[in-house]
Amino acid sequence: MIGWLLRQESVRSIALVRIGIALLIAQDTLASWRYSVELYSSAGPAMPVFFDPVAQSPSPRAAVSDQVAAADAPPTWSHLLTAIPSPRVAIAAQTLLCVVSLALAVGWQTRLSLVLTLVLLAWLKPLDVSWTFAKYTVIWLHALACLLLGGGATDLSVDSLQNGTRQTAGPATTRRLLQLLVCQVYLGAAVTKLKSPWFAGGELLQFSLLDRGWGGTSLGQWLATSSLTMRALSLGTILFELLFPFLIWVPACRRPLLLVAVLFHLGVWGAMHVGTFSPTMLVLLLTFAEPDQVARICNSWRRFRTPPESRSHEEAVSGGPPAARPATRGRWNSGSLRGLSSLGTYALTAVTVVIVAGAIQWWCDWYGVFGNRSLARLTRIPPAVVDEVRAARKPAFEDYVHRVTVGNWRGERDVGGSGPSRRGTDRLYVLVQFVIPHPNLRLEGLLLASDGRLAARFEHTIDAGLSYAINGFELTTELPPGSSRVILQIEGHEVASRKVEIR
Amino acid sequence: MASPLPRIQWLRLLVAACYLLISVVFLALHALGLSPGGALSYAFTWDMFPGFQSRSTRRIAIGVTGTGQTLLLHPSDRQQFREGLSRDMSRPDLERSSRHFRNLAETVRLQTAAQEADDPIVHVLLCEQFWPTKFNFSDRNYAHWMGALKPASQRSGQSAAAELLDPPPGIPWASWRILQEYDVDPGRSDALTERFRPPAAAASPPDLRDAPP
Repeated sequence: MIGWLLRQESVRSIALVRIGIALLIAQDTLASWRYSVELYSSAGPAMPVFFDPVAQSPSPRAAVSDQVAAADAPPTWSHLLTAIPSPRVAIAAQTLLCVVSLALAVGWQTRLSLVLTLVLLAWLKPLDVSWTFAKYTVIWLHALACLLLGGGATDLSVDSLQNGTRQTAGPATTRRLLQLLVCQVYLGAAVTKLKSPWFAGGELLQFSLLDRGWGGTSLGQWLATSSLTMRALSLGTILFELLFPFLIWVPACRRPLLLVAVLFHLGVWGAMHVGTFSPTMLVLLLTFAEPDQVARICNSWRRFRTPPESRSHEEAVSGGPPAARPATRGRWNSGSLRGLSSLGTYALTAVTVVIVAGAIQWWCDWYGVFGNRSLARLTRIPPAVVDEVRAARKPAFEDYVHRVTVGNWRGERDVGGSGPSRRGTDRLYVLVQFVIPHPNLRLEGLLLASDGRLAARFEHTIDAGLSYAINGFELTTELPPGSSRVILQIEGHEVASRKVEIR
Repeated sequence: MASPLPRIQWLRLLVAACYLLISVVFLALHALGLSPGGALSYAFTWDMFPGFQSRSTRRIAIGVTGTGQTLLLHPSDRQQFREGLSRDMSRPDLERSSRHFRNLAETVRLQTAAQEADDPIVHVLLCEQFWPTKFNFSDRNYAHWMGALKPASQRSGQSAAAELLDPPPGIPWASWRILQEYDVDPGRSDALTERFRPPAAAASPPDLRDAPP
């Protein structure tokens, strides 16, 4: 086990993970930089994940007011406990996170950048439960912590060029921990799905795809129109997430499983609006590629990019597998003094960017918190709006119905067979799927024959917890052939009508 | 003979072992349904897809002044972040539990209290519009799923009230409910209003609310 964790190997794949994760963080941070005041500051107000303004205070209003009052006031105890920054600090921190994550990507002061990225990410993102904090944020934090444990993965970095040596080999600890992280993410996700009574049936996936926030793209919504597809995808997901953590260690299964994993995440990426979760997992899957293979691919790329005259020198330099090699860019080699000056340059760059970014935010003052811009006064609305809202009209009965399917065969949670039904042999099944929650409902089904008379009816009391109801009509020979109609009513109100062909 | 491991490697191993142990413990607790909750538990519990919503929602906050005027606290210019599929969901819409909605409404009220000092808000209503998620299907996909055409939108016109009360485009109809309503504590507001009084240098925009259309 110790050998498995500490074996010396190429660190090229870990460097690629560092670059990938850092770029994802930088992209995510840049995308929300414009909204720093709203998302992370007390003037937003921030919506911290682990702080409930209602539960934490005997008077909810007092908690709210305390947080609001802290916007421009010096730090107070409540301010420090919730760690919600003022607008200026929030902008500075968010900008600094952009800078250090980009520095981490290029490997400039790699370890320092890693620590700063980790700290700033762990502080800022949990201040916004509404959107920018998600499970992939936690995966980033784990990945950064693992990278830190391994020493920061300084291969493919500005640091290695500056120091004159390139770290090409190192202990496998970081890669192993990242591999185990991927496995525990899949296993934990599978456990969650297995515990949910709604996932295997496809309902959870479908309702998730219909969500307006994190829901499906056009492809996802199209897939959601088939309950069978939803069920198959759900079961496939559980199967994949259960098998991956175990079979990935079997050499024969590794490549096909990695291919499935890549396709799985590309599929999730294409069908759902789940932020950078899929790219994050794709980056982490790199850790399962053989390190030497990754190094070989990178070297082939380098050979392709390097002119033939300088290639011979490089090949002579990088002949064996030492832990560190002289850097090929001689102009950077100047020892610790350059490293020290680099730290100064690093700090100066970070401070300059923070000041410039702060100045832009101050100048634009999108939220009117710096006094450069006054936001419009609150809109006056007609009192009729309040009257309408206060009326609190109950939803239409139709709103409780999520699906109606009519067919001549039935499964546990499905009804199928859309062709004409035959009298004497077939039954006509009617499936109604209800949304949860719903009140107790009285469902009534009417079968109107082609001549317009009522041929049959059923009545079913649906308890509040029930989500499916399958009822049926026996098609006797007395029923006239032709176009009949099934009408569904809840509490006497028609909620659906379907035409059926009877032969 | 193998050489002894350097101290840094032992330390590395120790940290890795602790990390793995914590991961296994929290996975086991999660599997047994015994997750303790809290930040550490959240960081080690991989509960993607924990549940679903069968309804979609949109939220507004309304302030009622002492003279009975009604002001829209949310949505407003103070909440500019939008996300979601159509990029039309503000943070209170995105935060499903609505734990922070009141906090947000209070923040906006206090930020604008100086502007509304002549007729301050005395009562706040936090309201939610909701509709079944099946209406989020496009017309074509809805017909495919339900086997019937999507109902026509029941829009109530072009007035300001209609714009606020009507559901988002593509949603046939929706219902409203009040999540919470509360009276404002005037004593506390007065002290806080000072903090949000706009700086003197900033010119206030003209008040167009009472201007003729």
